[in-house]
Amino acid sequence: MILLCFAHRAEAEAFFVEKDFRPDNRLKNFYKSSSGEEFLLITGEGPYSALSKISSVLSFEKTFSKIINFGTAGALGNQYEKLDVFSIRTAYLAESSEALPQFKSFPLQVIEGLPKIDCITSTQRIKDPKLKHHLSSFADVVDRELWSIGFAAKESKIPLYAIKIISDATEDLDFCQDVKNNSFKLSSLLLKAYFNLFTNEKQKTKDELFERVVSLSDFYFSTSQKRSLKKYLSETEITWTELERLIKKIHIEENNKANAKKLLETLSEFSSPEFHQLRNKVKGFMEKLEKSGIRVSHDQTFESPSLKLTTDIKSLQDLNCKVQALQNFSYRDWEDFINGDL
Amino acid sequence: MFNKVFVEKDLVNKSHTQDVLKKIRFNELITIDRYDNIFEKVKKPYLQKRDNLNLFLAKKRGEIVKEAPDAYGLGKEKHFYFIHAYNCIYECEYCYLQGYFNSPDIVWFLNHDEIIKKIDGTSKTHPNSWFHAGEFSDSLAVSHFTNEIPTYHEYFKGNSTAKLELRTKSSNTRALESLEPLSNLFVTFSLSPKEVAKSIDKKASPIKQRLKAIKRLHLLGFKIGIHLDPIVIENCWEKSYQELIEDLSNHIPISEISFISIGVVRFTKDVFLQFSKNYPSSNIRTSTFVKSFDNKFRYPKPIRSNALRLVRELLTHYGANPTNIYECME
Repeated sequence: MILLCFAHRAEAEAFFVEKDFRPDNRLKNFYKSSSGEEFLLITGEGPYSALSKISSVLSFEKTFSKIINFGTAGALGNQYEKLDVFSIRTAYLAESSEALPQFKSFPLQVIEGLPKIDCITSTQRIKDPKLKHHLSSFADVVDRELWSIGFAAKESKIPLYAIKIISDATEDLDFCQDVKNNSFKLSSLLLKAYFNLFTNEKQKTKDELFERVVSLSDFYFSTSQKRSLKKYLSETEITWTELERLIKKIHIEENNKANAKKLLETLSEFSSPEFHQLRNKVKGFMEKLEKSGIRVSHDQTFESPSLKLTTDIKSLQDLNCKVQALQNFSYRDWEDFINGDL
Repeated sequence: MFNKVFVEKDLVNKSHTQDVLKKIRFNELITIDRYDNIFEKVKKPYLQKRDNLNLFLAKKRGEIVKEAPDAYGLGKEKHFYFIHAYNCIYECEYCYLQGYFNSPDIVWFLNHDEIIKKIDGTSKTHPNSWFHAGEFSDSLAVSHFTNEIPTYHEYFKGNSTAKLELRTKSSNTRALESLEPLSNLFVTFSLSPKEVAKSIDKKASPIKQRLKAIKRLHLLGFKIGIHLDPIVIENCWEKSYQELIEDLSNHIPISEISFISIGVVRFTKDVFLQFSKNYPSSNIRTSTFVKSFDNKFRYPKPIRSNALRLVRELLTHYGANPTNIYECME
């Protein structure tokens, strides 16, 4: 599901006209489309209002796969013209009447097909040309809400996109009235950009790949195994075709948990063959000790050759067997292995 | 090349500044009081260096010459690095600058006379020391724009006990070719197998070009150093290093290389986080990495010791003097 955010209702007007958004009673100015696929939030103007509103929504509705902020922005450089539409690359923040830039920034997902620029969210309306010039060192346009939405989206780990339309150029002083007069035009352009850029998106995300694997009937993944699966999928950038090839190599048993374990081992080898080889070598070293009932643990970072052995002695015969296993273990070979003799 | 160029107001009318501005391309020129009022004031994502790179022309203040960490160079002499720039035009995936500065924007410091004064003071306190350029930026890549090499050459020519290392991944040797070789000037090149360099040394000169530059400078009489660092373990890496060293030996007799450093790819925690974010599909397979003795993330010791030993053996096989090889940051 997608959350569409606007600072003002006027900016969202074309969306209300095009789509059947109905109020969602959980929060004022929060709406749900009839398909249930899109939600729309009016955050109000200013970063504090936006942060409060979006945080509320994300606290009770946790199903968003992406957030898109739409809105107007003021140009900070002369190279931008009114009604130009951009994808925002990074959101910065300027605080106080002096528009002091704050360190924390939020990178956004950029939208292919639109030019990319940076946006600085200001706690104040920026009308003074001197302040505009000052902010132009850090960003290309100024708005009133994006940074806060970025903050909340990051906390919730939801990808954020922003489409901004230039509402006023650097020299425009009475831009508020202009925006009001042209609001439907601005809103229609934002809607057009949304239709062009998002409605035909077909690319499978990693999450979709993950869902596909965990829903396979021959596999059962525990919570920690699901975490490992996510990690491997993310590290390897593996495609579904490659994954299918790996799954075909696995000898499927009746035990679905064992199948999941085998798939993770295969993915581990795929993701890092050297480490897999290292673990097999360690297994080889420890095999005889383990078979005799001596549990061996080694430094997991491989920085030190030290080993920790634990065992129970059950009889004299058991003791002799373990002593024999220890005598057969070559600590020198182990040390050489740690020092790179593979 | 650059989006905005910020120039400190005290420098804007200097002839060196104007020379630099004439040589570079940019969209907008902005005069500022001090670069540090803007640079790193906001966290600018590293990958914006690809499409929104700014340049600052500034004066370096504060610490200009810094002592290098242990295992930085060869021998027992003291090693220092001096700061003539921040950030680099190249984009090497493992580069520590991505987690070091909070902005990829480039700063070129133009007060070279003051930098040399500091080098001179340090050199007097610590005779026979090494001074390395290229800790925070490639030392040759943009030298045809910045034009500072002759100034440093002049100083080290008159101060033969101090040694200068110019470290690079470029093949831009123009600034050096018109200068005379010095016994205390070492031009050092970082090399990786060509396929690895192609995939991870983004925008840096191809290995073929770097090897040609090595040959060119060596024939002119310049002292050459080599950094086989970072070594990246990938499929058939042993064969790739064998080919690289053989290729190198076809451009310069390995025995005539002044020193060779070898080091395996490593990351501090901050850089590791940035790297994982910036290059999720990198060929540097970090799932093997462990937190090692100095809290940096590296391959497990058996893997990296094996790699270092093998590369060392290859180098000696091709004629390197074992005493001229050192392990960097190990």
